[in-house]
Amino acid sequence: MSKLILTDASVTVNSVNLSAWVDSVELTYTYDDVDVTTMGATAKQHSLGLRDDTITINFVQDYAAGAVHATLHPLVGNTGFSVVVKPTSQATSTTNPSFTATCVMFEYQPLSGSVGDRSDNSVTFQPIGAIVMGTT
Amino acid sequence: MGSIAAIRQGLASNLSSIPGFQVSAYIINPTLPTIWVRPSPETSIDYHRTMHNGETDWHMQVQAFVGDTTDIGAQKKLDELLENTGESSVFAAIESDRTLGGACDDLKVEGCSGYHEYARPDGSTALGAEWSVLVLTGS
Repeated sequence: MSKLILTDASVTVNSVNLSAWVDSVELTYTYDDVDVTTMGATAKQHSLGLRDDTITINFVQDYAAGAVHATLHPLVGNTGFSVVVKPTSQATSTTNPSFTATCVMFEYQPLSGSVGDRSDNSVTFQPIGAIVMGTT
Repeated sequence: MGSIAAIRQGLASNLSSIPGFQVSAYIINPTLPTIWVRPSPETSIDYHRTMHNGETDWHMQVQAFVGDTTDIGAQKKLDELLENTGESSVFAAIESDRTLGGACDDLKVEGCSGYHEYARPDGSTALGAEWSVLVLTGS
């Protein structure tokens, strides 16, 4: 068993490796909580509903060619592009699984930040379906 | 990108525009008035600011020393360095080229502090101040 300090997560958006601009990464598997409680029940009854995953990445903004803005701005309004996230930049394996989704982007902030702060840009990629985990 | 030697030289190069001061990229046995560059003794370097070694933050310190602490002229000379504009402004000189000639992605002069008398090896004192500079470099 090997614990991990996250320093080298791999983030590829639309086939562009943006890892060097990634400050934080968060993948969330979410199911709707469907209330199926019926008469006579003494406790709430829950059931798994539809899945609704998200991928949230905080980028350091960069307007250079091939960097964050040049990659994300053209994806505004795009109906589906790939996002692949891995714990490290090493090859995909059982100890370094890949998490892949075809995503859309409902919101993009090309510029945000306070005076004197590094210009960061938090983006939530919305998978069209579910995030798929791969080990090869 | 990301060499402390290049950062030192870049800061010293920007500071060399200030007239009347000996400027050094390293701590030296100075002839006053002098300005030198060093890593901050508190927090010098923040590694892993982004994934894949994409950003390193270097906390640098610029220190300036002038002559006789009882001399009003020396105090005025040091005060000129504290201004945020002007040919003697340390802040303006450092930020005149925020890429340090290509040695970094960007930088910020965070502030000035430590305006007081400093002890010298020969037992005398010099009036001085220090500026903290945050330097961002990529991989």
